[in-house]
This record gives sequence, C-alpha cells and structure tokens, in this order.
Amino acid sequence: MSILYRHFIRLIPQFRSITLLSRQLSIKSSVDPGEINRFRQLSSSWWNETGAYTALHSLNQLRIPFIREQLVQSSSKIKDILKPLKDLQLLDIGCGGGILTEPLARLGASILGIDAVSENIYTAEYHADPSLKENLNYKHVTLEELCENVEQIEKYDAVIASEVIEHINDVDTFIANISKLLKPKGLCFITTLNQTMASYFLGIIAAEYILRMVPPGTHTWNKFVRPSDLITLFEKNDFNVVLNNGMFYNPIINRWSWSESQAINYALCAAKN
Amino acid sequence: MRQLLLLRRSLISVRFSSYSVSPQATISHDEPNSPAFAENVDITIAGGGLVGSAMALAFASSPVFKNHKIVLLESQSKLPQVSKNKPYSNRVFALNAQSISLFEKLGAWDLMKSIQSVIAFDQGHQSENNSLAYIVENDVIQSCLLERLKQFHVEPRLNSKVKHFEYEENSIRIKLQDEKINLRTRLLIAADGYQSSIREMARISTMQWDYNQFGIVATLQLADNMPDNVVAWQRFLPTGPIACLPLSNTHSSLVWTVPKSMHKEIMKLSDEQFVDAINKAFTSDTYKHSGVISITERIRSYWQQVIPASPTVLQYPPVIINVEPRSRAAFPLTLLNANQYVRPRLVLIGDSAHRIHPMAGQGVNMGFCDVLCLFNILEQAVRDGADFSSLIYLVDYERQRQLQCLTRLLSIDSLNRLYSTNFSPVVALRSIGLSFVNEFSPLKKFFEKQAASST
Repeated sequence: MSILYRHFIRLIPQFRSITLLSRQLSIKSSVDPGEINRFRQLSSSWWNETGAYTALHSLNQLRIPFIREQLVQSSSKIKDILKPLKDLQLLDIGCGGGILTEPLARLGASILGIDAVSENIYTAEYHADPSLKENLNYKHVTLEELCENVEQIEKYDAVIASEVIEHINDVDTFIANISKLLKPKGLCFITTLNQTMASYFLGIIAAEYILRMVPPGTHTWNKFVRPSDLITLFEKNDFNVVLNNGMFYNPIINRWSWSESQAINYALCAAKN
Repeated sequence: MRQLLLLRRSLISVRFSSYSVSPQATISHDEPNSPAFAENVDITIAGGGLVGSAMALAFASSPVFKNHKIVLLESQSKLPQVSKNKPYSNRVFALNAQSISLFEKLGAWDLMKSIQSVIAFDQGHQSENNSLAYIVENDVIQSCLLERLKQFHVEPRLNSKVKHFEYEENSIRIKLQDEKINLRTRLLIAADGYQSSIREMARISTMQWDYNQFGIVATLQLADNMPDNVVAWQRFLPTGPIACLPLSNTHSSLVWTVPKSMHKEIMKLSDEQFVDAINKAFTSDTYKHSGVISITERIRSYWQQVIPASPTVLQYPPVIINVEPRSRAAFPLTLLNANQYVRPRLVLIGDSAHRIHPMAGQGVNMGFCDVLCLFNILEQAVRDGADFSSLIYLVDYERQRQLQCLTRLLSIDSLNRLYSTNFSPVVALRSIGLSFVNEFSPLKKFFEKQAASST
C-alpha cells in the first residue's frame, strides 16, 4: 500500500498553472541571477521526463516521425539521414518549453518557436543545446503579431500547432493566419483533442482530476474541436487535408500509439493549395 | 520460498521504481569548487569485455552515430589477444544465430572465421534449418572485435576503471582511477561484469542467489581424430550437468557443474584422475535408475505407435584422453538480475544486468542481445532527433530486456532445480518429458528456435 501511495503522490504535478502572467524581462546580460535560477527550475520542470510534462515528451515518439515523414515525402531531394529536414523553414506555434522544437532543429530544420508566455520562451532558450543556435530560434510573440511582419509572409515550408488549438478562441482566424505564413503547398500539422463524451470523461475528468496527468483547468471541453469541423475550416481556408489519424495514450506505460478511433486525441496534416 | 519472495519484491520494485536522480547526486550548475578540466564525450562504455566491445563497435560502425564521440574504458592493463597457433583457451561460448547475425552486421564474423575454424553444431543431422550454434573461444571474439574497432579509430582506454561518477545538469561526470582524468559524458553504459562497480555506485538493487555450485572448465583432448565432432554433449547428473562442447576434430571444451562441496577435490585431482572422472561421468551407469528406464521405455513404445519415430542417429559420447595443462579452472555460479537496467543517463548491459546458470549456454548471447536491443533503440532516438540519452528511450530498452531476461533466467533456474533431484517420480517424469520432446519434432523445433534466438 505504501508503495502505491508513494507512486500516486509523485503524479501530482509541481506546476500549478499554465497561464502565468507574462512579464517583459530584458534578456541576456541584464537578467539577474535570481531569475536565472527560476528559469532553471522551470526548465527542469518542463524538461523533466518523469514530471508533469511526461506525456508531451513521450508524444514526440509519434509526432516527430509523423512530421518528418510528411516533410521528407513532399520534397524530392535526396536527404542526409542525420538531417532530413535540412533547408526547411518551420514554425512551431505555442512551443512551450521547446519539447517539440528542439528535436526538429536537431533534424536539421531552421525552426522558429513562438509562445505567448515569455517564461516559456526563456525556459526554451535556457535549455536549448548550444550546437543548435544557428537553426533554432525562439520569439515571445503571438501568431497575429507575427503575421503583421512582412518578412514572415509565405516564409514557411511547414507550420506546427501541437496541443494548441484547444486553447484558441477563434480557430478560423488562426488557420487563416497560418495560411498567410505558409508557402504554397506548405504543410500544417495539428494535434489536438476531439470534442466527444470519451474526451470529456477520459481527457478531462480522468486526466485532470483522477490521474492528475495535467493540472485541473488546463483544458476546457467547449474549446475542443471535432475533426470534421477542423477539416471544414481547413477547406474553407483553401487547404487540402492529407492525413487524419487518431492517437491513443496509455498512462500506465506512458506511451502513445496510432489508433483507428479519433475519439480522444487526433493528428491532422493539411497542405495549402 | 525465500527466492520466491525475492522475486516478488524485485518485480514490485521494477514496476514502481523511481527513475529520478537522488538529490545528493546532483551538482548545482554554478558550484564554486567544480573541478577544472573534463573531456566531453557522447557515449562512454565502461568495460572492454565481449559485450562492451560489441557495444562500442555497434556505435562506431553505424553511420547514424558518426558524429558522436565514443569512449571504451577498460580497467585491466591488457586485453586478450589471439594467434593462430596458440592453444585453445578454456573459455568458449556457444554463439546462437542472433549473436552471429550481430557479428555479421558489425563486420566481425568473417574475421572470426578466418582465425579459427569455428565449428557449427547442428541438432543431429536432420535439421534443415541453420546451425543451432557456433562454438567460438573468448579470446577470438575479443580480439576480432578490437581489431574491427581499430578500423574505426576507437581504441579501448586501458587502466581506466571508473572510480566515481556524479550527475551534472545534462551529463554524467566520471572520475577515473587516475585522479587527473575526468570525463563528461551524455550516456554511460555499464558493461563491467556481474560484480559491476557502477551498478553498486548507482545503488541499483539486485535479485540474486547462490546456486551452491561451481562451474569447472577445461580444454580436453579427444581419443581419436573425430571428423564429425560437431555435437555438443550434455549429461544431467544428480550433482549437476556435465557438458562437452566441440572445438575441433581433436579438442573439446568442458563445462562441468558440481556442488560446492565437491569442487575442491576435483580441482585437486591429477590430470589422469581428472580425465578418468570425466569419462566416468559421461558413461557410467551408476546414476541410472533401472525402474525409471523401464517405465520410460514402456511409455515410449506406446507413443511410438501414434507418433512415428524420427530416425535417430545413435552416437556415443566422446572419449577423453587428456586435458590441456593449466586449462582447468573453477568459478562460482550465481543467478543475478538487476532490478533496474536503466537510470537517467545510465544503462546496464551484459553480466552487469543479468547472470545466468551456464547450463544452456545463454549468458553471453543474452549480453549480445542487450547490445542489439539498445543499439536499435538509440538509433531510433537519433533518427527522431531526440537526445539519445533521454529516459523515454532507455525505459523502452529496460521494458523489453527485463521481460526477456527474467523469463529466461527463471526457466533455466527451474530446469536446474528439476535436474538436481534424485527423487524417482521426478526423475521418471523428466526422462519421459525429455524423450518426448526429442521425438516429437514440432516441440523439438520449438525449443531449438528458442535456443537459437535470445528473444
């Protein structure tokens, strides 16, 4: 019994709330050591593979090959096996601590990670592998602000918004903005939760309150997007949905797998016409 | 009973074990007395034995790891070398098909075949499959692996025992015996044998028990030049199994398991007395139960009416005339399984993770299977752009190998217990069982397949 108790205590995440107030901090030389310490703690929380974000870390085993294969297939050049995404411009929206951004940079892509929360950007920059500094960049900016920058228009080969759109109010405008930033024939990758009874009971009740895999209040069921609705929105914005797959998470072994059913989580890849 | 409790405890600790690093083990990033110079490497393998060298060669020969710096540490001052005319060493291994394919992949198999005409032993002469195993000496395997490593510019660093290691923010700092040298590595692979000091330092608990038996090895000279010396012999005596593995037309290798009480007197025997003891162990009828034999024969006659008897080639065990001087050695037998094979940035492979009874010749094959499994998983990690020392991938390795190794350890252990008794009903049952497996070919093929692969 004591073993079970110890195990479940460990599941309660240290991280209280996902929406921290963002504060503008001047970067690099004028950041004080107390702040550095705080970023180190936040970084160790984001990047602790057995901590609160463990499911996001293990999701990489599914989403990195997914993104890599689609991008490699759509390009005809012969690829270096170590850097198959070389010379591709990628954008990771809502990059958080950089869990998805870093591996993509390691595969050779020139990637920009953006997040509305400045703490996340500092965490990601703190953790970034120094060998990746040429092709890995982070920016504390929102998608709308990025769209106002003329140089960003039609710049990207692919845009990734993984576990993001369930936090967005206006998904239609979101996709329209993505379309602005994508090159023609560029790809958009989305992973998110479906709006079903199953996703309510398993994705919210079980995940947030019973198993405490994410802090309570992380997700709002009303904001979940059904795949059919998402496909409609994509087609409205002149995209063509290439791939649409369900994903299933096993919390006991902390592993994701592709699934026939899209009832809880799913992944989508759409190409701009 | 005690062993069942040990097993239960270790299974629970595997399921709920914590992979987190204990607080005392972490150094703070800006500690004022952090020592001066440390060489940065990517992968460090501690232990230059067969399994450690194979692991290093797997990384060195793979294009996926070509930009990674690999270091192989060995605590001894030299590693065994072999030449064509040296007498056979007393340590030989029966390599199964999977180990052979690993060596083919590493490009070391042809080299091994050229040094020693390795003997393939088949299951009788009726098997159409590939050979069950190849018998190769320890020294041959070791020197071929090192030769191949040299071709990739990786040399083992001798006299480099890991004295201490500690966790830093994104790496492990290793202090070697020579105080001046420090290594900072992203991943530490421990291949330093069943008394692994790294496993002790990491305080990984183990499930282990002593078999109260010793294994005696020697190199034997056969009576005649036997061109068909391709069959491995094993006889299960009440005191323990005695096995004779073919090396060439004139020589074989002995592995004899004896109780602790007996091993000293056997080691004290003169060479002639030792040879007599071996021949007697193979052929003597004193161990046979007449009652059991008659029951076994009768039951066989019954089922031979149903199942056609497969043609058996009757062979006699080899007759030994001499033992190579100074080749006799004894070592204690234990079972060992580490309750965790991985920790953050640390992996156990080979005997440091598991140790098995030698009766089925599985020990080193399990180690090579660890190498293959870990290599495939880490290769996948690099292709996914992940930090290859990431715990997510290491835990995949542990899950696969714990399951496979534990089941194999325990099944060989059960076989050992089954054959250690003199209780007639058990003797009768196991004799009938063994005959049945031998004659019922689908079942025999199943066991052959299990022995040939380590998965």
